[in-house]
Amino acid sequence: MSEPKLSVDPVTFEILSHRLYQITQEIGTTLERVGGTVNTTQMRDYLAGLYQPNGDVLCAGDAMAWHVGCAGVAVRRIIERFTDEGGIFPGDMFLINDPYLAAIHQPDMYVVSPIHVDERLIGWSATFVHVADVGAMSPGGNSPGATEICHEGIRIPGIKLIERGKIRRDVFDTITNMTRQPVMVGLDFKCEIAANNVGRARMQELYRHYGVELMEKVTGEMLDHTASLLRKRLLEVPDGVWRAHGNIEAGDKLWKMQVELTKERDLLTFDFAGTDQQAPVGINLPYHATVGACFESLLQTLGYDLPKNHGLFRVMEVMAPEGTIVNPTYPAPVSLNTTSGGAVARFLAGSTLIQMIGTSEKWSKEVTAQTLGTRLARHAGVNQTGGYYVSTLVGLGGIGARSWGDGINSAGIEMGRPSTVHNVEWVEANFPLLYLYRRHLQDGAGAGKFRGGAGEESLIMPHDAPEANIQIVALGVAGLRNSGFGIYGGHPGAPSILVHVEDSDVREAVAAKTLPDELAEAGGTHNLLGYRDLRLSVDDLLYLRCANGGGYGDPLERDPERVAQDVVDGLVSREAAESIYGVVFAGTDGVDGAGTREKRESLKRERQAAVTRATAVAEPPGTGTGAVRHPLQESLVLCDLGEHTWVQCARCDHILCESDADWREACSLGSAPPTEAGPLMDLLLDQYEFQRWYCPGCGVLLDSEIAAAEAQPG
Amino acid sequence: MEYNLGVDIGGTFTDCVVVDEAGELTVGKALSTPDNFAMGVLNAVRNAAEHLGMTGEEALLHAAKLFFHGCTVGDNTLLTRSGARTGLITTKGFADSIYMMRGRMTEGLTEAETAHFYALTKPDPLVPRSLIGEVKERVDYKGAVVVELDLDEAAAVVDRLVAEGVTAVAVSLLWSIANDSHERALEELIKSRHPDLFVSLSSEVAPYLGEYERTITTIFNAYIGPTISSYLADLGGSLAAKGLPNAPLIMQAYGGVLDSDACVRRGVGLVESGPAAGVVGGQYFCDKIDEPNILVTDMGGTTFKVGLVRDGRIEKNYSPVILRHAVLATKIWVESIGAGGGSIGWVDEEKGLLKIGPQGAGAKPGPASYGLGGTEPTVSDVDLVLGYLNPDYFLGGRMRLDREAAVRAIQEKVADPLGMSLTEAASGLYRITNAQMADLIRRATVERGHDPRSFVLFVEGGAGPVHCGRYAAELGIKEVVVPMTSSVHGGLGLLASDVVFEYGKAERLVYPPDPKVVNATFAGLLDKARADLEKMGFAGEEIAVIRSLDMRYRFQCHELNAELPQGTAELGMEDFRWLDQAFDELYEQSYGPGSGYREAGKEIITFRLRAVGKIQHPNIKRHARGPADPADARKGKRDAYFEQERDFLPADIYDFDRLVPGMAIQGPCIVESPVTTIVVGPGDAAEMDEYRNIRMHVQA
Repeated sequence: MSEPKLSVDPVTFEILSHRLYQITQEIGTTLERVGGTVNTTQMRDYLAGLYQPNGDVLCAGDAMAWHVGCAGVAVRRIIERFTDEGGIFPGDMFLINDPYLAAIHQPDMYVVSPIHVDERLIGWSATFVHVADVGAMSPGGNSPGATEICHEGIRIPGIKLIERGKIRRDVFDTITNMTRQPVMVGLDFKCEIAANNVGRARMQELYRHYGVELMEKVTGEMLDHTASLLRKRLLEVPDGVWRAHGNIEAGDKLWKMQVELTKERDLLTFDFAGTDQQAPVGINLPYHATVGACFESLLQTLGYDLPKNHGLFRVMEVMAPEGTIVNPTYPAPVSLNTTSGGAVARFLAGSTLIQMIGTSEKWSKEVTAQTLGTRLARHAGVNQTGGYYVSTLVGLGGIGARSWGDGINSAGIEMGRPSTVHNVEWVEANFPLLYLYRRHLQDGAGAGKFRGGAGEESLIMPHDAPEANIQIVALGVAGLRNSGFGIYGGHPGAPSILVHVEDSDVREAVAAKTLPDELAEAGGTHNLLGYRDLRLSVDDLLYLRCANGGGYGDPLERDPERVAQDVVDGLVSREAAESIYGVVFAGTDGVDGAGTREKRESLKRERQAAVTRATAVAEPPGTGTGAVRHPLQESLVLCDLGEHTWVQCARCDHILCESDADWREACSLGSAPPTEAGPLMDLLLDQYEFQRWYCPGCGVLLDSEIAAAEAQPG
Repeated sequence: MEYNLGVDIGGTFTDCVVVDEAGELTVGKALSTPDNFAMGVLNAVRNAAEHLGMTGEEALLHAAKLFFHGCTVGDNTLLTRSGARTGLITTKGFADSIYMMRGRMTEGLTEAETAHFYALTKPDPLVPRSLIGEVKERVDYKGAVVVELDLDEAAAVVDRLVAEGVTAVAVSLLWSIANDSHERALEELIKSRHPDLFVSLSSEVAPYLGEYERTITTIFNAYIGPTISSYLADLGGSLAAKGLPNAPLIMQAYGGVLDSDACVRRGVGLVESGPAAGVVGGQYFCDKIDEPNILVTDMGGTTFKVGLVRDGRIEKNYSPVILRHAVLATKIWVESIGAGGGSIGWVDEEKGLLKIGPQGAGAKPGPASYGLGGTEPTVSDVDLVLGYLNPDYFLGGRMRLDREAAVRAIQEKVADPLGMSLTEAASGLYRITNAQMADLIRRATVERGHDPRSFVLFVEGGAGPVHCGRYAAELGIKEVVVPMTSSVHGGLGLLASDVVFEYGKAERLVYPPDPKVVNATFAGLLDKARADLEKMGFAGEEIAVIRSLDMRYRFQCHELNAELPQGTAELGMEDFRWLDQAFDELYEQSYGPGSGYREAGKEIITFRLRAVGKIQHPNIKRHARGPADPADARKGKRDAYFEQERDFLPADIYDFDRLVPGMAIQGPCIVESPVTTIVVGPGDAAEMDEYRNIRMHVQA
């Protein structure tokens, strides 16, 4: 493997790399400024990218890596469709949203624009925003009731929106006319047009300034350079195979998705074989979006500081059997996929990659507990100024704990990239709603040596709603294992939920000039929501609890002072501090050091006494510290001792098993109700159990999982 | 003779710029004294007095009519986290807003920091959770009280915070912008129980929509308020004791000065007032040189900043970022990046790429060539190796530069690892630095809808004139001005300031609005403005009022500030028809043709009123033009590298002090002054104008 080497001079390379990046930034800024939906202006649910003449990614901005490759596919589809018929001319812009061809689901409308310098095609710019509506069953474009794609609104395989610089009013009006909100959708198109105009103008200036020849040489080199860097990094990580599986819950049904990641030298293969057949509900993820999910995860783990370009795609292959959730065919519906099939695919790709880099001395510092997703809700109706509206209620989830510290509290909406929400005042100024509280959830974040980030919880009531009700579509990742997952023994975060409170006592409370501080005090009937449409009446409330990050490592290894601080900050209750973290308090505030040590020792002794299924160690290898090959995770290493290679506890040198055996089989296994992972896991009682694997030598927690409870015999 | 004084405290030096009745400028300089800033101030005044032939600072202070002051006390208090122990009182259920930050956790971070998502953290809060008191109360968007304020509970909350040792309290309740009665009641309660507490109300400090930003702004204000108060009291006392007849006027970051009382109430307005003074100085020269559009750039030791003057007006930022938090306090819009004379050049070994900054060598050890122990190659070292800086005449010869050390640093740290020659490495770093600055200017102009070529580039800061010709060319800018006050431009900006009060009110009105409502809202703001300005002794013609509205297309989230015609006349439907069109134009100008979506309708979000108490600005002296031939100012020749020719060329060296207005010089040449070095490239030309500014014409 040769060192990444440039033939273009590094000064020009550096200057042009930054210019291209800046152009994508400017495209993104234009989308945010001109756009109108919450998705665009707050969630950064958009794409701003530049492409090579053939559709290869040249430079994608900061937002939404998932779509980077999909838009490249969109460019290729437009080239295929229009090269012979219709033509591709300077000043054209094309619209495409067919999920079977390029997009992820219909509301993500891609606008792609050829860029010419002196009649020569030098590249493309591409954007998408999640438009306000696509005329589907449910407002906003995510339709829980859809069973086939024809229920999910407009599907455009490619159409010219701007012809040689002139907007095609016929096309524009035809499409906006098919939506519930022609004005808002019009605004969405406007922002995409403005952004593509900016991208084109800047690219033309750049190519003219440096000359097309030089630019083609440098851009080609950029892709090669990125690919060679990523290959070099892959070679720094041990080869291996890692697996992960997850479920998508919709209605009362469960679909399974699984992936196996194989790393051989400098090539990654994601194989989704074993994933369930496509579903008659919109959770299905088109193949290019499955590739995009893997791409985004790769970018985040090994490529966060690399230019986002097509070079990154050269090191990975994605195999997804046709007709499954990860590669659906007509007429599979897809409209819920970004927060179902897509969220799980990203989570699985991320989980396998995190396992992979955890085995590398150099890269394991990047290990972060993964989050599957969060809940959100569409709301629509007539607002206090009498206008019809559709918008999205979102909150901030916490991200998972890291190898070096706690996860970030209330970090974003989409896990893995910066995203923002509106102020309560902004929401209340625009929509007929009133927040009773918006705050960090207590005891929601996954416990661990490092704690997951706490998520938001909000309780919301209709207020000044002229029609006395608001239409709600419950979206986001449904199910009760939809939040943060712990890593290396860290506990999971509390599930992200939406609760519809019917016939609450809130109006009585308001009449008495008070408001409930807790969901439990609100009265009424509480319904936990899956994917569904409902109406929020004047006496109803909506409760949103966002994702909570998973923990990292053993909670008994957490610095007791940090636990005490969490108690002061209201993030952890005293009860949980004692039962989960083993921290004993002296009197009202301070930590009782000796008491804590004693409590933790006794908890560890209990763990060692847990059931052991140790069968994998063929012959006792003796003791001693082996020569470490590489880490396996926080508390385990792979080492050579005597004739063999072993899995050894990094805390106590206990040898668990040979390297090719499953070390979990050699652990003490404890099985407990989910509430032992955290008090807010009570929703999972009966259906699930909390399993933990401990080192038989010292009792350190090595792994944990919320697993479906085994059917009781008899 | 009467004088006006502008004293500007900078990181290293405190400058005192004095202007007399004839418009003659005199500059005094002294080292800044962070332990007791007043000492540096007095030293700088004394230094200026000496230049004027006076003995001691008292003589000059006695003769001072107005004393303008730019201070860094607000910035320093925040950066060193040495402000008051501050508590927050907020609406029950919303205490976490300032930690949640709406998820805005990448504000103020570099591109590289933003990209590394798994390494992000949120900024440390100024108010820990234990010092937040929640009170039961709730107001809705219309200002209607949903839940009454529970004063008994509130009293207990306040007492608890005081018991915890807070000396300042920020009060920020939801929707206090629609109804401030609960905040007022809390203020009264606090004042009656704990009269010494420093209290800031969000409805007063930042009366704008958005509880996170409003609360953070109020916290900053409370946190730095007590420190500012004692600082200004000390300084005012020292100056009065030395004979200053009038109290000092303090520079605000929105460009304008206030008296101490007003300044203490709105301490957050002081933060980042330093760069603002520089932009005001630039605006002052706009008039003088008859150029309405200028880009004010300032390249110092660690940062490169850019501000904008368009049509003679300074561009503002209504939600700037301070310490990684977005605040709601008007500031002069200034963008910056970590590129200055001290920025370090380095090689990203894994990627085989050449980089510059954002790390800097600081004042110590500083660039390798300073001989203070620095071994990393900095931009200053590059400028020396390329022949731009004169090792024997740096800062007028007060400091000798070690060329060998600079060569060694560049050779070992950059050239050798990349297999480049010394010149390739040095010129590469020079190009990358210039490209970064050009990229920042692009962000400041094209991303805001302006064409950089329609601006004149104004160059401040010691390191800027070495580079400006190149970043101007990169942007297609043809006219460059290096003002003769380049190194003390903040001081000049102070002298050119008026007393300015800013008022605002969040009020959402669908367009076209009822003129009665609009006029009533502005009238309320105007009453406050008149009262404040009259208290400072302004009346009649001395008062100017500028009204503006933050507007947007409905359902969009981004507002633009649209200025109304000057004056206080009642507004009618005619005006709104005019504004309707003016806003469309403003919008398209900012975001491109076709971006405005008129069909969506418009709405007003925020009312703003800027009230100016006009002060006589200095009329700096204009000199007669002399001969064009610069031969008398030429002092030698040396080889310097010029990118245009990719080679070293012999360049004439001119002595700035011997140049006289009208003299014209041709590149390649270099002008050396005791405070800066101006590089004129081959094909470029320059001349000295009547104000002794160097005007450069760049071949783009």
